Amino acid sequence: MPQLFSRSSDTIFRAVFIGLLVVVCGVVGTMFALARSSYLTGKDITVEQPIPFSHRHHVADIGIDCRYCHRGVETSAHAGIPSSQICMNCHRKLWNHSEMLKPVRVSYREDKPIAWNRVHDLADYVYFNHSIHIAKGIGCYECHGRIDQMPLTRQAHTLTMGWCLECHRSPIEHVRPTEFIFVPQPLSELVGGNEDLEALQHELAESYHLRRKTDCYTCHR
Amino acid sequence: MKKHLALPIVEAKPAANWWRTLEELSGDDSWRVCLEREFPPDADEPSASSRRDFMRLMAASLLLAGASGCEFTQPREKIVPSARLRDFAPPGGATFFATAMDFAGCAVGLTVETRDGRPIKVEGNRMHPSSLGATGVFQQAATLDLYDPDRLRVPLHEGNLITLEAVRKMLAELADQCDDDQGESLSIVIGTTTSPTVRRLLDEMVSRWPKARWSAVNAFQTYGQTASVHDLSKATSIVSVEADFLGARDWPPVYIRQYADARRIVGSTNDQSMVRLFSLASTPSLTSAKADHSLSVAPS
Repeated sequence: MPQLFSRSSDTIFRAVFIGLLVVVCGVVGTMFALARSSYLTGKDITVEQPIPFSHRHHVADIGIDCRYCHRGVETSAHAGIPSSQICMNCHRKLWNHSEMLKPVRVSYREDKPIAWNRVHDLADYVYFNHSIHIAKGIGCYECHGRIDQMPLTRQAHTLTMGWCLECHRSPIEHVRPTEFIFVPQPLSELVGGNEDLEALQHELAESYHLRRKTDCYTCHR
Repeated sequence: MKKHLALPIVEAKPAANWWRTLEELSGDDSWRVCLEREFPPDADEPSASSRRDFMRLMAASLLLAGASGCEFTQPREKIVPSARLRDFAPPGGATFFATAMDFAGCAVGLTVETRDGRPIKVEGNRMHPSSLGATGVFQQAATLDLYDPDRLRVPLHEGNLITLEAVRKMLAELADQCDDDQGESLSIVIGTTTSPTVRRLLDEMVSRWPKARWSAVNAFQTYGQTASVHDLSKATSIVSVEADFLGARDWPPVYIRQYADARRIVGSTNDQSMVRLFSLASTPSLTSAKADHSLSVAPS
């Protein structure tokens, strides 16, 4: 009986096997990379808005507290986008002839809302509540980054589940004193040396009754 | 006030003296076209195509419908905060307003849920005796009425928009005129209502201008039209004559609650036996289905 396979078939088999392995790994790798790319997570992508609102100007230059506009952040699941009336509290007097702010004036006068484009968009099956994060000493900075350095609002982090879990596994590294919650800077810049920081955060975690929150139903309820 | 619509009277046709539409009765020829064709003359009709073409099209549609679900990125969303601060609920929180809706001569107590100043849901008011937390279909649908583009927002006078100042001026002139002739020239037409405020205002009007007249007329008549609300919780037997009071339509929704409570034995606080329901109706309804004894009778 002659040989079923020729001498070269071993080589062909190896080449095909390795080729398939490369293709499968490539496809899976590309999918993983794509899922983490800013194209899909929205990280660092500046979304166009009807009015080019600058957080840098309002937060860093003027020093308005976050809660002046995002008035629900301490009490509600939603921080809330301010109504045109809140803008008009100041812009009735300031820049009240500016062409850029015309949509605000029109909105307020005609009682027609401004449709802002959403920047931070979690999946619909995720439950997120702003107020509990504030109450437990997690500052705006932890998720929204240096909002005081953003001329146009963009997403500072990926907001993927893995990113959420990083903090939910060890919240102690992200906790800060109540007075710094609405200060959009890293805590290390606000308090002294690293050893102090760690001791402070342990102390804070105790006082906030901070716990690991990694049950599925914490966010998927 | 009763005025019958005059229908065109035609000779009875030899083949049939019955008719299905007013057009058929009047002998208008245009209705015949509609009867003979499946679609009206100007409607789109599928071009002559084979069964195979149809299957091809359907398969392609199914495929595309499936493909449209494979969107990679999340759809871009908008955030639309209200232009003015309307209530003091936190963003995303709801404010509930208590109100009442006058329908078919009975006010139903309601709570309206608003978010960012926008009413989004109407539910019954638990503390209101004509609702006890229940609503009927018309109360549920009232949310849509609030967004009806045809809803009157400004005063109209003979079909023209006028300002509120003009209305006040006209009313002041009318009041002067009524003072002169004791209200002889005044006649008010309102819908049936159980509102004590409307009643008091009408009484005030009549005492000031004794010759003024008012009458209650409804644009359309419903079965539930009563100027009083019964208390079914005290009944031992209920006889319903062509009244679908469990249908959550024209009747106060409290009847459903009261009936359900009166039928309850386990956990019931009163010592009375279960209420009996007798129904006489020409068409089956929720009430006749629930009745202990239901009798079908001819409507005439």
